[in-house]
Amino acid sequence: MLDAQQEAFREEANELLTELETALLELEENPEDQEIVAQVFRAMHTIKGSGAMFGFDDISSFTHEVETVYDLVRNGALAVTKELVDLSLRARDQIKEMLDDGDRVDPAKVDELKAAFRSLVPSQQSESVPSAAVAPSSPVVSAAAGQSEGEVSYRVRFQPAQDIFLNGTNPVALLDEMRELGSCQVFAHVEPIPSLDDFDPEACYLCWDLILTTDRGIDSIRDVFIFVEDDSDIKIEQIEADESGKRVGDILVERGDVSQEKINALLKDRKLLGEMLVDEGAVSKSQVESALLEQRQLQEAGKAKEKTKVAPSIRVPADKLDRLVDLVGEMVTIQSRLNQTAVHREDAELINIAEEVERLTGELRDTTLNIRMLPIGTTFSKFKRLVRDLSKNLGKEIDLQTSGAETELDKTVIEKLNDPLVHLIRNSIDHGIEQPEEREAAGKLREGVVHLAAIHSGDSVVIEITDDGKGLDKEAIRRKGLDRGVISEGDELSDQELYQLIFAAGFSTATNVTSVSGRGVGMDVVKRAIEALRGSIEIDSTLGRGTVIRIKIPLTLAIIESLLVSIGDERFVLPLAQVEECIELSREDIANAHGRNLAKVRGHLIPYIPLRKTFGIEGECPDIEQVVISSVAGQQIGFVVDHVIGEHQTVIKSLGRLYRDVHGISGATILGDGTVALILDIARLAQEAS
Amino acid sequence: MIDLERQKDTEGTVLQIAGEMTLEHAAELKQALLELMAEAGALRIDCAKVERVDLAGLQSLCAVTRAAAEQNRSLSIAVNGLAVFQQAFTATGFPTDWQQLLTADQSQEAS
Repeated sequence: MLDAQQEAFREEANELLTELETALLELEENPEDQEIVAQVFRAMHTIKGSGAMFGFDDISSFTHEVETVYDLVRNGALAVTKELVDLSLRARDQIKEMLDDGDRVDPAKVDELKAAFRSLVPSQQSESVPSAAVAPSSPVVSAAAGQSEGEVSYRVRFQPAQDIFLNGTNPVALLDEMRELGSCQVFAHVEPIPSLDDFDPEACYLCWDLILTTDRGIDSIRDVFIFVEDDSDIKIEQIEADESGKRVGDILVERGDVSQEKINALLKDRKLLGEMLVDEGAVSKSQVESALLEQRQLQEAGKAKEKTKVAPSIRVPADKLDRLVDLVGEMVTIQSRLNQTAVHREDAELINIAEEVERLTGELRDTTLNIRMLPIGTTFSKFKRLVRDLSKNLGKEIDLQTSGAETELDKTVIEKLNDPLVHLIRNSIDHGIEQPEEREAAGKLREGVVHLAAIHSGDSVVIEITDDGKGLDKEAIRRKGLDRGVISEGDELSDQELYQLIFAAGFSTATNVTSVSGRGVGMDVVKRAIEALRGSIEIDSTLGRGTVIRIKIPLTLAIIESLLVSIGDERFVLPLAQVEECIELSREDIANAHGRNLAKVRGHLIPYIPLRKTFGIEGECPDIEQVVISSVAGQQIGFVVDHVIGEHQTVIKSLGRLYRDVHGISGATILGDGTVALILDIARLAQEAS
Repeated sequence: MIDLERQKDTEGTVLQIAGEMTLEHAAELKQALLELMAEAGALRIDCAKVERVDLAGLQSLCAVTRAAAEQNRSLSIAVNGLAVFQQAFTATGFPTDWQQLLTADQSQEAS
């Protein structure tokens, strides 16, 4: 059980570290932003607390030092500097390392960082009481967010989840923490405890009202409940210091005239409370009315708040989700079979049902695939760090801008996209953006801009990496291509074709190799990775002005819209996203082309690939064949088939290991009648034909 | 460790609790309390030998108090003088008149 909890902690901590990194980078840009400071503090606090809870003592004690510093920052005793952000980022990496392989961490490094953080804390504050770091008399305390001078009273209603014990949390420990913050009165409500028969001995029924008077600000109270705030009901209100604004009941309690329990018991009945207080002559009728009004308002505000609460989320292992997607895939296949059978039998009732099932499976498919969709922004934020560190290394000044971070993509696609994007961004930074001096000489701003954008386009997502660097040198690429024998002297290459050479293995135009890139390894890997995702990659560049790399990838890997075609008895599918149009090809057309595989479309000549020949399918082709024209890397190319059957929902199945090296086929799918159709790898076929 | 012993004497039945009245033994405790409630006559719970009590233990006492009130049974729990309990009451912010609160609640419902 502990293992599972530790695993959960790791997962949670990893998420927090990602958040932390983003927050730190933001903090570097806006050092004054208290919100972000609080965010950093909270992340550290949570890692520390839950680390200790699950036996990650090293992490906990290390994080403690960082947290202490951020507590000071939060209270205005320390300023955010570039050095602090640097140090914090290193600390973040250190925590990650300790988290990933705790045994192999160099303790000297940990101690060094610890000491660095400790040195930031003014010496008179003892280490054991970090939160006491800000003494009320300390002259450096500025009025930070949510912090006011002097002592303030808060009313806290703490209603833990019933299963709080099972989570290993002891509510009493939280009460003790509250008591440490200042003068604190604690009242437990015993009324919710049921009678013995309905009583669950391991549930927590109690809820608490706490009145705390402290000079430490509302944040310190929030920190106490930080681990339980997700499933507990916690209300923190500031009680007005202004005596006349205080609620009558509270005043009575504070004076000791009436016990909190009594008030609570009375509060249940509006009439009783009002009458009693008035009877006692303690207050006037109108005062009671006003107090009740405020109370009701508070209750309503609470209710409204509850409604706007973010929908709760649950964590599901990815493989369960994959299984679900598989099942939905099967379902889609069966459904198309059902449709076919129904139509074939001409059974109106069955057709009706089949249509209903079709609608449902469609929705089911969309919903399921949607579950796996994640905004690409998480990946983007990782790059911020990459760019920051790289530009520092290379002495360049670079601003990474992102847009479309909310664009959603299948989780597996995002994962597989990470490495190629890292490569491309490295390239842009290393080869694209020039040194600041060079840029100034060229009349550009010292700071280069790398823009990362994601845009939805049909059933694909386009990711663009734009830099305003020196651009690609076509001549250099051509020379290099000639050197390496990839092209020959007489070749007439379009710009696009020339740029595509970059993706050839071992191709690099960088004159010197840096630690970052320039070894010519990478771009071919990038291209392969993108193609494995059934995507395409294009480059556009203007010498001296910059380069745009455009990646187009399908939203999901599991199910695609496709075009079903046939050659002889064989069926094939082509991804619909890559299909532009279909035209007819008669024997006459072929004869007119004089043996060249070129079709004339509205005055343009488009090369085509006779698939019957490519795949060696026997038999006679029909009098009129069909050419499916698609676009590969900006080039139009046609594929000749016998018949175009129509659109098809293709559930992609990967081919077995044996077929991994088969060229031109990227997978298979099962058709409604149970036969198998192969999915054409259009990019590969086009490449091989040329 | 929790020790639960039920004894009958002239005044009725008494449940002696000794050791740890804590979350770990909460299920055991509930069972013993249910068995106690099944006895006829006046009921007592003797907590003098309890060494440790936590929130779960206190809640159990509340639950049995409520049950007794519901069934109009006489149940006496003498804990107010005991140091262990005094500490626990303070730590958890338990109201000193918790027994009245639970029984009063009941009589209100009944009326």
